[in-house]
Amino acid sequence: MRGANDEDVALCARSAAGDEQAFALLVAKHERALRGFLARLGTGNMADDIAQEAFIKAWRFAGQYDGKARFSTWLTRIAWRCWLDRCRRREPVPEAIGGDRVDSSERSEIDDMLMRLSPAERAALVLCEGHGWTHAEAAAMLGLPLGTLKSTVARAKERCRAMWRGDER
Amino acid sequence: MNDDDFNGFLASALSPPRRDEDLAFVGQVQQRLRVERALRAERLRIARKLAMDLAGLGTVATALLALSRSPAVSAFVSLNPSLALGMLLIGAAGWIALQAGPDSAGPSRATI
Repeated sequence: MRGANDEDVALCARSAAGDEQAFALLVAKHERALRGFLARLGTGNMADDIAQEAFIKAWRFAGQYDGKARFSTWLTRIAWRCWLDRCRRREPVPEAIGGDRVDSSERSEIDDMLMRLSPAERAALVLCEGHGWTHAEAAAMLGLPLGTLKSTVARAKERCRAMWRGDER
Repeated sequence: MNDDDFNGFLASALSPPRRDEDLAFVGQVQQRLRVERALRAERLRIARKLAMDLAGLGTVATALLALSRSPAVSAFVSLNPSLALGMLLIGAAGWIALQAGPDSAGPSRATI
């Protein structure tokens, strides 16, 4: 993990020094996963706007990134806070959930499942089951205690399984 | 379908989209970044100008206070109060005209 993140640490240090090209490389490298995560939170068209806001904040505070966690962990934490801020400000967040990879029937089914979960359950499930983050990393991203995160993922998964079986409709 | 199928479905449906990097999005972020930098520079410029204005105002006020305590100025003001007031007003008008000059006409749109 350390070696894989070294490049991001170097790019972030260059960004903190004002190198826009270095930051563009970071954006290009991480936008797919970040936008995928935000789209699954139910932000619809706002996902890109929140992703941009998160990248701008990452640029502004690039000097504070210490490389202890992965850059993507740090970035996702920023994006999650941006998303929560939008919700607190009660800005209209479209209910549509989007992803551009799965086929329409599968997408419809998963969207339906996700919309029945709480935001924290949704985020935890997407990060751990879809994006392959460990529970510890997802807990750091969402600012939750590890135990809470684990139980949140388990509960979300169980609810989805019940919906999938047709028990919870 | 069993639990393995469900886990597979979940992982497949929730994984990030498989596609190349979106250069249009990268461009949008860079554009917002440039706006952000321009706004920051503008805020800095305004803060510097405000600091300079306050320093200038403080200097002028201190100078006027020192002048008013001078015996010669006190005598002049008591003998010619209207003239003294007129001079003060002309000085104030000149200072306001200087402040409202083209260099201090609000934020520069060219930088944004």
